[in-house]
Amino acid sequence: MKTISIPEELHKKILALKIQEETKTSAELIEKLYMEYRKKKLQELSDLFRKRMKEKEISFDQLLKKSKEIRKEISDEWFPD
Amino acid sequence: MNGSQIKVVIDTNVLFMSIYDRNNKAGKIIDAAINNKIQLFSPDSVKTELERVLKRELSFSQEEIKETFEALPVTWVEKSIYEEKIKETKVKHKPDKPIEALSIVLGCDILSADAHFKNRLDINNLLKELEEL
Repeated sequence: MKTISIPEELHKKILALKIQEETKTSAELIEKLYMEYRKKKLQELSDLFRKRMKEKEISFDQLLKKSKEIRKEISDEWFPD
Repeated sequence: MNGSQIKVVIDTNVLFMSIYDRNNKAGKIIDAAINNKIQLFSPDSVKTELERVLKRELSFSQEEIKETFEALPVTWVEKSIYEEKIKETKVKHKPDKPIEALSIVLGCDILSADAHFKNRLDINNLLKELEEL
């Protein structure tokens, strides 16, 4: 276990959120917030991914096909006969 | 993470599916990994594949690629850990061998959209199993 110092006002907000989210401990609440943050980052990544696909006019199937080609290229580089 | 978690080797195609649509079945698997219900592993060859596709096909910058790997809840496993098992793999398509080799090392199944892996998991069954946890 580690201890972190936070301002009084933030501590109050965390306690209020702990009750609202029905988490047993502040650690559990922070873990939950961290999970939500990671999902938000993934959504941002997904948005960027789709934006670039549209700009490049590449379909999802075409992307998977390119991926297979690149997989073969890596295999030839990393595991030559 | 705890020892009783389900372990799975995840393929590039499932990772791309989860990024393309966060609400599909692959997206739900990724969310389950973020929620610590499942541990996802993949060989470093898959990481390189993902990196090259994002860079070459979608012009992702190095920073965007770095953020992609930070966001994905996947443990990347180095070649030195799985390469010895490549000779034990059954899959015929050579580029797919690192995935099967890693599944042998970890003693777990594979989550892939490609049907040619013998120890491939059914995503519907996996999601059902995760819901019951």
